Amino acid sequence: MELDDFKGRKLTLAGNFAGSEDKIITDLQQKVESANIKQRRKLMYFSVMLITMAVVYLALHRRGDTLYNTGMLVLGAGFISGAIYLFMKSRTLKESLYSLPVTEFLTAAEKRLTYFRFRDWLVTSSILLLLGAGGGMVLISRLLNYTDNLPLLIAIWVVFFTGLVIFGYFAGRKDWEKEHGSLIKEIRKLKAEMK
Amino acid sequence: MQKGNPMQDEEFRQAISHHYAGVFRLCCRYFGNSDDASDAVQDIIMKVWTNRHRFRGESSPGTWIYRIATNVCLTTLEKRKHSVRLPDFEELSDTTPDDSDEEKEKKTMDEARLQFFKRFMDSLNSADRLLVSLYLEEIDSGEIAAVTGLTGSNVRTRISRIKSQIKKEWEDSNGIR
Repeated sequence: MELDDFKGRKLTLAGNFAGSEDKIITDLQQKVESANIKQRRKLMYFSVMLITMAVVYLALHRRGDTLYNTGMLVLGAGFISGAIYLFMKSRTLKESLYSLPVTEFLTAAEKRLTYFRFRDWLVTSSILLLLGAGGGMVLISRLLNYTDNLPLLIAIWVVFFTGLVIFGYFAGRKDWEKEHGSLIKEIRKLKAEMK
Repeated sequence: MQKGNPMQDEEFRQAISHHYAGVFRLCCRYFGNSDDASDAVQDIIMKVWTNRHRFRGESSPGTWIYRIATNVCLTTLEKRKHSVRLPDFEELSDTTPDDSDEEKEKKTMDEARLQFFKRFMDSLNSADRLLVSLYLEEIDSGEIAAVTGLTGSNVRTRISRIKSQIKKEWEDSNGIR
């Protein structure tokens, strides 16, 4: 038996596909429209969230003492940057990647689906610095009403925030692996097979 | 299609009409059943549609559509995991009472070959299964190279190896040699 024996052998076009190209294209246009609506809705939710956060933090910024005031501004900037970053990160595989040759697609998909890349470290470090500094300023400005021990307050905040960041990192990694782990493993396997 | 011009809606319709049966067959061979293939084809057409403005005519529309098709097939994991049914080959039709003994024997033999082919396809890794699927669509090695990103010589070498492998396995399983 030769592989070429199976060349040109027709498969039954079963199911909904037999001779229904026009129907497919009509269905497709409806699906694209519905996908666009979903995408627009998602974008709208993020925009509303960002605007709300900006309004809340700016409103709070007008009140309070100087340290608290600055802390709220920095925290607000950190939350907004974080929301933008999460939104960018949530778009896992860009549609445009699918039109690349398979080997390039796999490389790009692997890059895209890796949990933390160098760029992510850079971006999240900056955002965490903003959140850490802002949160610290707000918390410390409040707790200074009860104690004058500034180094202790700073130490408590640093320990708490570091713990929170470490927990967030591992919880996020677990969630990422749950969602994309099997796909990224398969992509790496495929990359090896294509070599 | 003018190089540098995005794909227009009418060209998209024509390209889909022209290639969709081939893409469907590719998916059937890859997944092993028409249900999963149908789902994959829907996804492929969606992606062709949403990407049509990115088509610049640097390759033929067929190559471009097959690229999207292969990438969708490769990343459609869940569907691949349960590909255990036989492909819907029209040659798998039952024998009829009117068939002569010779015809019945021929159909039985044909069915055995198809079952062997299905098992052989299942035993291949994803990359090789993809190459075979494209090869059986009578796409030449240059175009397969453009779809996959492999070099033409690599494609030819791999297909030649798979050809030898299927021949050897068939001979071994039937005690030929």
